[in-house]
Amino acid sequence: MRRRLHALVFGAAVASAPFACRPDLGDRESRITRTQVLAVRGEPPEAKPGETVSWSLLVASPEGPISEPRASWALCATPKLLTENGAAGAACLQGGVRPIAEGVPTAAAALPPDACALFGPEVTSADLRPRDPDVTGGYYQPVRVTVTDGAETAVAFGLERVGCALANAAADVTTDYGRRYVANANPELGPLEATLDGAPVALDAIPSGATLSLRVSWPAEAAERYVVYDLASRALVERREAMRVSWFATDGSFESDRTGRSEDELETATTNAWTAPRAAGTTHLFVVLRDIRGGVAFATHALVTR
Amino acid sequence: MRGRRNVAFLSPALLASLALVTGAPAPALAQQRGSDVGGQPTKRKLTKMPRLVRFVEAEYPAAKKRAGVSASVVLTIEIGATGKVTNVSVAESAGADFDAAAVAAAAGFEFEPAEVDDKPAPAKITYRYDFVIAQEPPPPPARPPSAPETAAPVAPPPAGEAGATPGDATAAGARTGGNDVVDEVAIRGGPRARREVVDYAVRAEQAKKVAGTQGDVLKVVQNLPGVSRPPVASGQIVVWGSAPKDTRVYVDGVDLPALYHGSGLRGTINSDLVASIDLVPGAFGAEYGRGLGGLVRVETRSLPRGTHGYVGADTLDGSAFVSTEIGERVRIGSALRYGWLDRVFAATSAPDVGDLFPIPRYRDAQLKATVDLRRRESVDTVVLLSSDELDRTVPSPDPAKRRVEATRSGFWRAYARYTNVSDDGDTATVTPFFGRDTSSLAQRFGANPTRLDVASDRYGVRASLRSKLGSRVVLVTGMDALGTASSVEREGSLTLPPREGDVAVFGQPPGDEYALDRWKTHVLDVGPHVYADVRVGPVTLTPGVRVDAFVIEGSKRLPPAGNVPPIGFSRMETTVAPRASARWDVTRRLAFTAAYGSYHQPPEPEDLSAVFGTPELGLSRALHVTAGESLRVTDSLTIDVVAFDKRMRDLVVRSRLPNPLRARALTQNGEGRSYGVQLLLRQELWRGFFGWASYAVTKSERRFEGDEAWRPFDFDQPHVLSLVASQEIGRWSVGARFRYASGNPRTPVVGSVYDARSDRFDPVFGPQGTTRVPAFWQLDLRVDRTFELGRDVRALVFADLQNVTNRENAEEIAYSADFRRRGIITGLPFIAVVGGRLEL
Repeated sequence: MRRRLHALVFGAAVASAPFACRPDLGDRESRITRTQVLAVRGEPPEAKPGETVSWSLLVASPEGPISEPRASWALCATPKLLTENGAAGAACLQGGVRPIAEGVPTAAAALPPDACALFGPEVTSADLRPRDPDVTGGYYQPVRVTVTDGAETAVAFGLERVGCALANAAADVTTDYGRRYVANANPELGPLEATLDGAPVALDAIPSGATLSLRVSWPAEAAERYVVYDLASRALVERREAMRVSWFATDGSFESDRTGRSEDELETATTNAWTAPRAAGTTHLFVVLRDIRGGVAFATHALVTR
Repeated sequence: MRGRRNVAFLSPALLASLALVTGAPAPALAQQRGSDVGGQPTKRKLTKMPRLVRFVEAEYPAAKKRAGVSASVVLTIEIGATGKVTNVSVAESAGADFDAAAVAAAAGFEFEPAEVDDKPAPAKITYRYDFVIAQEPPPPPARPPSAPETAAPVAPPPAGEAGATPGDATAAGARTGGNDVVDEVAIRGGPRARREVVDYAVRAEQAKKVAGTQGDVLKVVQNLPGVSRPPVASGQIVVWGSAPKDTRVYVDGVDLPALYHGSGLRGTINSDLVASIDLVPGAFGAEYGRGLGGLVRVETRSLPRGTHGYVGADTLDGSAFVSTEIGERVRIGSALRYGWLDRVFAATSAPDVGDLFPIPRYRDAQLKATVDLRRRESVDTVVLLSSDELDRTVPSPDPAKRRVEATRSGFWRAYARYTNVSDDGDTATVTPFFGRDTSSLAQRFGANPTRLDVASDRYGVRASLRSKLGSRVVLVTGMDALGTASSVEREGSLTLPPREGDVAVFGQPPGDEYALDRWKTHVLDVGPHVYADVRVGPVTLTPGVRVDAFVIEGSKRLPPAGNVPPIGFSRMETTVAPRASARWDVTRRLAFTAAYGSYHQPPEPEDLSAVFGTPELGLSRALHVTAGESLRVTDSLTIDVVAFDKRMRDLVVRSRLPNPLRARALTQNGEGRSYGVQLLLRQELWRGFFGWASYAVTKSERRFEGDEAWRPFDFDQPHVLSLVASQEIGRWSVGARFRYASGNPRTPVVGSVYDARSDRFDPVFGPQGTTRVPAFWQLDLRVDRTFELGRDVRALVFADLQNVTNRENAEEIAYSADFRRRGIITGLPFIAVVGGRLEL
C-alpha cells in the first residue's frame, strides 16, 4: 500500500497538453494584397545637412509593381518624443512637416540645415540632452511619403541617414571618427537565381506548385565596414554591415518572409524557398536588399507559372 | 469497552501551563519557546479560559476494540470567539482510525469561549483523547480551570477585534508533561503582525486548500479583495490601483523583492514554512513605509518539536521540507524547491504557450533555526533564497528577427529575530537583516540589444518596543531602517523596459535609439515611528507618526561627456507621515472603521540614471483614506465593506519633451487617484467548510500634471470578483474558485505607417487607454485526499484543475504585422496540476 502510494505521489506529475494561444492574424508579410510601399531609396543614403538627396520608391499592388506612383513627399520637421517607439513622431503625420513634392514618383531636396539638431546629437544648449543614435551610430531624417492609388492611401517613412558629429566623445575620438568614418552607400543587388531540385529554372517557365530555391546576392563590398563610437569602451570600433532581404510576391508562398546575413556572417548571398501557385499565370516578385545603415537596393521580377 | 476522552482541563498540570501562558511566575516559564513569543509585542490579558460545555464521545474503532488496543491521540483544537470548534488537527497520531475518530468527536465539542481583556477571543488548545478499554462508564465532561487571578500579556493586541480572523499567531505554553493533561494551551489574539483596520489574513492551512493555488499559500493573495488579476505568468501584485512596485512584501518584517517567482506560478517561500499571510491594501500603520501601495506580510511558522517533514512533487515542481530539534533549545528546519514546468510544457508540444508566456526555471530554499535563549527570550534565524532563470533563443533566417533572451532574478536574505518579553509584558523585538537582490534582463532583437542588470545589497534593521501605559493605552515605538546599495548597468532604448503609461502594443519593438549607462546608487532610509492603541470605551484609536530620513546617493549626476570624470550626488529628504486609524465596536457584532495615512516612496535605482532617468528624482507621495464596517452575521460568518480613496502625486513618468534637459529623461509630473468600494463575505471554518466571496468596484487613473483629463491606470480593473469555497469530507477535501475581472485598458490602434528603413509597420494610436482587453473569468477546482500510512507517515495526493471550462480567456490584444487586423492572445487552457506529498 505504502509503496503503491509512493509511486503515485512521485509519478503523477502530468499536465494536459495546452493548446496554442496565438491568434491567426491573416496574411503573411510577404504577400501583396493591396497597394503597398515596399522601399524608399535615398541617393545617397547618407548625407550631411544641406546636401541634396533624391528619393525613389518601390510600390507594389496585387497586379504588380506601380512604376509611376503618385506620391506626396515631405520632410519631418518635428522630432519624436522620448516616449515614442516608431520611426517618426506622431506630429510628423499631422502638420509638423516640410513639404517637398506632390504627386510625383521621385523627389529631391536638400537636407535641412537643422537636421542634426532636430534628429541628431546637436543641441542648442549644453543643458539639453542630445538624441541617442541607433546601434550603428546613425541619426536619421524622416521623409514622409504618402502614396495614393485609387481609394487606397499608404503612408511610409523613409529614413535618410544624416552625417552628424559625434556627441559626448572625447576630442581625440571625435577627430579620429571624422577621419575614419565613411558615409554609407547603397548596396547593389545581384540577379535572382532560381533552382528546382538543384537545377536552374527559367523564371518564365516555372512548374505550377513547384517549390523553388531563390537566391539573391550582393557584392562583397556592399556589406561595408564602418566605425562606430562604442559607448561601453568609449572608443571607436569597426563593424560590418548586416544585410537583410525582404521578399514579396503577389501569389505563391515563401518559406521565410525575410532572410539575410548578420554582421558576423560573411556570406554575400541568401536563399529562400518559394512555392509557386498551382494555377498558371504571372506572379510578381519583389526583392528589397537593405543594409543596416539605411542603404537600399530593390528589384522586381515576373515569374510565369505554367 | 469504549473510548474515553481525556478531560485534562481540570488537571493541576494544566494550571501550570496556564500560568505559563499568562505570564504568571512559574517554573515552566523557563521552557517557553522563543518563536512562540516572538514576532510582535504582546500586551493582552487572558482573563478566562475556554470551558468545555458539550462533549462528544468518540466511536472506538471496531477492529482495535476487538484487538484490545488502546491509544491516545493528541489533538489541536481551535475554538472560535463564540466557543465553536473551528478546526481540529492531529498533533500526535495514534493511527488513522483512532485519529479519525478523535477528530470527528472533537469537531462536535462546544466551549464557553476564552476571554482576553474580558472579551471573547479565539483560543487554541491541545487536547489528548485517550481510547481505553474499560467497563466503567465515561466520566462527565470536565470543568475548565478558572481564569488566573493575575493575568499577564499573552498575545499581540490587534487593532481590531481580537482573533477575529484566521492566520492569527499563537503564544504557546511549554510542554508540562503528565498523563491526563493538556500539553499546550495557546490563545490566539491576532497575527504577529499588527492588524490594520483593513487587513485580510488567511491561515496557511486554509490557503493550501484554495483551488487554483496548487497548495501554495502565498498564491492566495491573488484572491483577496482589492487585488487585481495579474497578467498570466507575470506574478505582479496590483493592490487598490497601485503599481506593482508600490506594494511591499515583508517576511517576518523583513522586506523581499518578490512574493512570487517570475512566472507567478509559485511563491518564493515554501508553504510549510508559512504560518499566515495577510494583505493590507492600504492605509497601513506607522510601522511600515517606503511604499505607496499596500502590504503583503508573511509570518513564518514556528518549528514544531520532534522531527517532521515532507517530500512532494507535482506538475510545477518538486519540493521537500524537514525540521528537527537539537536538544531542548534548538530547532532547525529547511526547505528546497525546484521548478520544472518549463520542461513539462516543452514535452507537451506547447511552444506557443512558452513563447508568449515564458516560464522560467525557478528554485528556492529556506533555512530556519530557533534558539531559546533564556526565559521568554529567543532568536529566530532565517535564510531565504530564490532564483529564476529563463533562456530563450528564437532563430530566424532574418537577422532582424533573431531573438535572444536571458533573464535572471533572485534574492537571498538572512535575518535574525530577537524577541524578549519582560515580566510586565513589555515586548521587544529586534530584527537585523541583510541580503542581495539581483535581476538581469538581456534581450536582442536583431542588432538591437536591451540589457538591464541590477544588483542591490540590502541591509537594515527593524526594531520595536511595545509598552503598556495604564489599562487603556499601549505605546509602540520602533525603528525601521533599510539601506540599498545598487549597481546598475543598462543599454538599449529608453522605451524598453516599458513604464506605466507607455503607449505601445503587445510585442512592439522598442525604438531604434541606443544608449548605455553604468551607475551606482545608495538609498538609505531610517524610519523611527511611534503609535499608540488607545481604548476609549468601545472605540480604539491608533494615532501614529513615522519620520523618514532618506539619503539618496548616486555615482553620476550627469551623462558622461568626453573624458570628464563623473560627478556623484548626495541629498537627504526628511518626511513626516502621520497615520491614524479608529475602530468603533458598536456592538459585539458590528464595528465601524476608518483609517488615514501619508506615504512616501523613494525612487528606484533604475530610475536614477543620468542617461535613462533622472538622478534628481525625489520621493513620490500618496494619501490613503478608508472607511468601512465589519458585521459578524453568525459566529463564523462576516461581512466587511470598505471604501477607499488613494491620491498619488510626484509619480515618476517619462519626460514629454522631444529634447529634455540632460539627466532629465524622467520627471515627477505624474499624478494618480484610485478609489472604490469592496465587499468581503467570509465564512470561517464551519463543519469543514470555509470560503469567501469578494467583489471590488474600483477606478484607478493617472495623468500628467496639468492635464485636464485622467486616463485609466495600465492595470485598472473596475470589477473584480472572487469566489472561493472548500469543503472537507472525511479525508477528502474539495474546493472551487471562480474569478471574474475586467480587462486591463489598452490604447487602440487606428492605423499604421510603414517604416521603410526597418521594414516594419508602426502603429498609429488613438486616445490612450480607451479600449480594454476582454473580461476574464475562470473556474478552478481542487480535490485532495489524505492517506494515513502508519508510523506517523501520511500521504496527500491532489489534483488542481485550472480553467475547467477551458475558456479561452483574453490576455492581450495582438495585431497583424501591418496592424490592419487584430486578434486576441488567449491565456492558459485547461491544465491539470496533479501531485502529492509524503509527510512525516
